[in-house]
Amino acid sequence: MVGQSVAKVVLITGAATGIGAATAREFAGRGFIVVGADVDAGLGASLFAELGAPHEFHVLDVRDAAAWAAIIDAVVDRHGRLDVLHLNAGVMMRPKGSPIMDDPLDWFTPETYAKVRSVNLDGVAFGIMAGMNVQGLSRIIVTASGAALLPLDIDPCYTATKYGVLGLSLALEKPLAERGIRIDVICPGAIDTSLTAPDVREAIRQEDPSFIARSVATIATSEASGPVWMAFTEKEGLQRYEIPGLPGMAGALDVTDEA
Amino acid sequence: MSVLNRVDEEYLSIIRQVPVIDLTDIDAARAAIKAVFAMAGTVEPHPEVIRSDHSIPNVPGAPDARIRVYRPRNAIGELPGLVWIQGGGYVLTTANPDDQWCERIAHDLQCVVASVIWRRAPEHPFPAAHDDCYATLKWMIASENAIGVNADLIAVGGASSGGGAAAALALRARDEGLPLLHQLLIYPMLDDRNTTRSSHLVTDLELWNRANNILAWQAYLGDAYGTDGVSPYAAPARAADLSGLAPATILTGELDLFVDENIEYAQRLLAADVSVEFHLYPAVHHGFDVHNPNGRQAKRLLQDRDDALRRAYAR
Repeated sequence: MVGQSVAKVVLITGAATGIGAATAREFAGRGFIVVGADVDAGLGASLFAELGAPHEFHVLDVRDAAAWAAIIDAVVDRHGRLDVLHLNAGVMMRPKGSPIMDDPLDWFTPETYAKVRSVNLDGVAFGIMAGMNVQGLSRIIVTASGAALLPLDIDPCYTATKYGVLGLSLALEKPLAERGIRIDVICPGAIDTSLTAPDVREAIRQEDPSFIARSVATIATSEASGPVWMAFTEKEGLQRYEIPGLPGMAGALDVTDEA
Repeated sequence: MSVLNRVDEEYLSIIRQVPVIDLTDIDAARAAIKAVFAMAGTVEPHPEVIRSDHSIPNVPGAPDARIRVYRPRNAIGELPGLVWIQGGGYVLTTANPDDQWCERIAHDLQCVVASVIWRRAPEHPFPAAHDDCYATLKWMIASENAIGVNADLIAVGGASSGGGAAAALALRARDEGLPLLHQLLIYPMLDDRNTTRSSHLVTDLELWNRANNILAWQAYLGDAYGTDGVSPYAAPARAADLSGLAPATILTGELDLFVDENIEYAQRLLAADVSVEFHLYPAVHHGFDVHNPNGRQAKRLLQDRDDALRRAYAR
């Protein structure tokens, strides 16, 4: 190898299961080199054994900024490039497999709040910080949620972090664009993964994670401009979300003598 | 019959220096091929071309196909592509899947080249090498975003057995409805039947000769050798219908044992309304350009190769 892979490289967090695993398969199928990261070493290793070389799996706790720097170095060292960053790792207030139709305030504790915030919000921020200095990184895609646009009563912590990553990403849009990095946010609806609570899975229709995977890959490989996307149903497909402005805001930040 | 005394003198001294390839002992022949490449010395990778090795999905049951991909370092955006299949009689390979050849094409034509490290016979008879090539074409089409290739501008090419494999891949692509822009066939090995005049003509031990050719086909076809059950994807000369194939460029030498089957294939392509470019280089043998790339006819072949690809890529 002469230092750099010909094929583009994508790093996906939360790659062991759900949307992340489906996205790993989708990008692998499109010829990208996939680097998957997750705290779940067992499921991660097993998926990537199936995908085979050159795809690889790393254990990564997205809450750890030093671990982020290390994984970025390892990827660039090995492949000579990192092109796409899919910041997808996420948790909810309740442990996976817990029913959700209970009192959310029972779960609203400092510990749970910190857990959800550190994975969902810090993890995304640290990922952007680590990736933004990589020469040649051109795309960052953040998995937010419908809960970034409309609050979910059943999980206020999750909602806060999803609103948070949306705001973070939108605020970073221009500074990152100056560096040649485009950031997009995808807001899935109810998806059939282990993150969706069992009683929800019984009660409402969910989409297959491959729908989100294809949507992420489409965003990453097309010039159509976001930055916010909705992916609620396969039938409606991937749609651009128009961020509503605030009435009367135009000119409100102009500080002039006439004010 | 000896044709050595008719070969252009620019190639004769090298022919006499290289080890003889004799397929009656395949291990020795493989060692001899390695020695031929060693004589050329090690060459530094081209500084303006990046390359990486990939294992890609293959037909069910087959191991991942191995390929080496080359891309001009500073090119951005979508480039045309070439699936390149090196020669070796389906039997002989080295660790080098035509690196310099592929780097030169990638750089000079600003395209992405994927060289197939095909599984060799007799350990892996047909359809192993064919499957590896087909997997590579499918991968290149599917990976257009990942490697920056325009899937509408993918050509296939090969030399000797690689040329036969390229012609077979063009047949397969047509039959499977895959887009293919062009087939570049360099003295291709097309016909297991060895009934042409030129296939009888070349017997010199120093050249790719009739005896080696028969042994190579036997290794590739295994039990199917000598039967009517040989697939056109193994021996493209056997394809009954050449209509609808990608436009072709065929480059071959006057004293190549494949010259007659190459001329016949070109003629049949024309009869099937396939666009053909054909060059016959005088007084040269099979693999002449590898023996002496600086020879006059060799330079013409390399130029014609580049011009054909440029024309296909419409550059």
